[in-house]
Amino acid sequence: MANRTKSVSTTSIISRVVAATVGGYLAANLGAIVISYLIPGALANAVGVGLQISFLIYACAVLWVFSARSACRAWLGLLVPGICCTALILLLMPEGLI
Amino acid sequence: MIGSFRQSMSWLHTWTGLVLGWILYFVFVTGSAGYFDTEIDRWMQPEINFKGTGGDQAAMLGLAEQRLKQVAPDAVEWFVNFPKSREPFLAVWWLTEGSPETGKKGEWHNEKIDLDSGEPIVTRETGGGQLLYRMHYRLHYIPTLIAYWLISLCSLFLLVVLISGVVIHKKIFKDFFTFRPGKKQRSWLDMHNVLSVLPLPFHLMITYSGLLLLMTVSMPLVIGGSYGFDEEGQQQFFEEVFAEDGAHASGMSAANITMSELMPMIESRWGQGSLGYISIENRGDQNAEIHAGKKGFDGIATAPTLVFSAVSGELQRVVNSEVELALAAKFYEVMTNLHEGVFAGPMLRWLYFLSGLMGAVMIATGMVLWVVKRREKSVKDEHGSRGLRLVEVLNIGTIIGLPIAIAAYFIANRLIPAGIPDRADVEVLVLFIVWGGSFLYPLLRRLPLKRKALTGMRCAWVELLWLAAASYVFVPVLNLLTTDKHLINSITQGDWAMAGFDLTLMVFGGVFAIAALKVREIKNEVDQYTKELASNGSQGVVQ
Repeated sequence: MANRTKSVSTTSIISRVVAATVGGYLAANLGAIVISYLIPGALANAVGVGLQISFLIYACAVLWVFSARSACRAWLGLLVPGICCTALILLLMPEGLI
Repeated sequence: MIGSFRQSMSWLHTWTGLVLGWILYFVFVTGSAGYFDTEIDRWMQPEINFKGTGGDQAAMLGLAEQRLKQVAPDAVEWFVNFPKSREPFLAVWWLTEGSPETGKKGEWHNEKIDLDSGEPIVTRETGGGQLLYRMHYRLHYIPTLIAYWLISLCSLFLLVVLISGVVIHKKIFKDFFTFRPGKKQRSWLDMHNVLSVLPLPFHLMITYSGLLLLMTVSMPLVIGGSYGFDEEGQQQFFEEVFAEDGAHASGMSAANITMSELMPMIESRWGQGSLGYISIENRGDQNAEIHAGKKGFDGIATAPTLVFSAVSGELQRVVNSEVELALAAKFYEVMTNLHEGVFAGPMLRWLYFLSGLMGAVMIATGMVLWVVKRREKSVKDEHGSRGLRLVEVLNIGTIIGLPIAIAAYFIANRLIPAGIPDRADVEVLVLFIVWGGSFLYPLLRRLPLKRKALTGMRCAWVELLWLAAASYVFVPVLNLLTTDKHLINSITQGDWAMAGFDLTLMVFGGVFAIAALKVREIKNEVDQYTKELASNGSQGVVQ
């Protein structure tokens, strides 16, 4: 397996590590907040579900970042859902939160 | 990232595993020890005499209340814990009053009571097994918050390593039954695979639930999204989720009955010796309550609890099981209970312990595999690249050094005189100094050999494994020399927690000795091979 691999540039690796740790973290938070807004019923329950799913989003984001063909695509794949989530959050946010 | 999806996952698995392996190994080893935290606590406080778990509970409660009256007359809560199988001694706990003005929170204190004299048992100051247990999530010597974040991040990436490991694993079921000893790299890989696949459900559960346990620290924004980003919002969330059962203090003082006065009523209802604990909350208040919990319930199912008014002595309610929880809270409850395993009996507790150790060895073999693979590409270079040397030193220092350091912690517990200031801290210091030394040893080992770095490190592997074997066998011997709680006495008294500790450490000694023999075999082979290479200068490839 190893002999067929081409070497990866250091910049690409650093970029992906940042995307995975920081970008993945933000994506997990944004995704979890949207989920907590969409779940009906008691607020504490909805937030609890969001919190517990957030780690799955984070893990998936990391897997995505390191499987994407280029670092650029990896970032894009985080940014687009991230922006969508942010828009949804602004739309659904309870009044007077900030 | 590189080639196919599986190749990307392989890269991710290899490098994330390597970077986080050392800290995760620490977490798995100390966390596994944590499953026997109270047993280790007991071993590290040999002043406590084993008196079994039976006895007259009413008399015990009398002693406990007498002591509490003396030592904590103003405490807001008293808690009496009756002898149980894992904690065969009478313990009293009390909560001091916090002050809302200064923001100082109330603190819990505890003492163990001697059943003959009613006096508190004076024990040596020690971090005990609790310290090892606590280290697995809050590390040591660094701020709590940073530790929580670091551990959360590592756990998240462990989840990623586990998932990517499953992806790159083509024959997950076949490898379940595959082990080819004596085949160098293949053996390491087989061992890594068996230890990963067999307890995979445990690894996934323990990693994910570990993340959940710290989620309010690691993911505060998610709470903020609904409750506001200030401290007040976080507080409100906690109050809604962890709504405590029980009345709040009214602020009006009232005379309380003693807990002992209720004993006849409790014993006529449940029978003698049936209590696990009894406590009085909001002492001296109109709303003071006495809670009596039945013995034999820990963790998943809440103990049936009788709740009395501490003013009138009337039975107010019987709590039989958990309050009906919402979905999220229920899931959290199940996962975290599974993680902590408080409910586990002896057999299940051993299974937990062994699963945790399998996790540690999974990580260790993975890191060894990293070195072996790279080593085979450059067999002639006995000096090794800088990266290879670094990883090898960290591997030796972590994989064998940590167990040696923990043995040193136990040895320090027996040798440091009782009563010196900050004794518990000195014990921990010994642990970390010994651990630090085991990183230096492989670095310095080549000096007397006048040979290349990797030769010295192979020697260090074998010698440190022997040292580990010797120190684990030495601990029970030292216990015999310094206390009356040694193996012979604990077996004749039926004190299986104490005996179990000594026996387990002896088994560990044996396992390290076997490992030393095995690794010495490998070392001799490699030594022979490199010598041949050096003498005839021929191009050679391993196997």
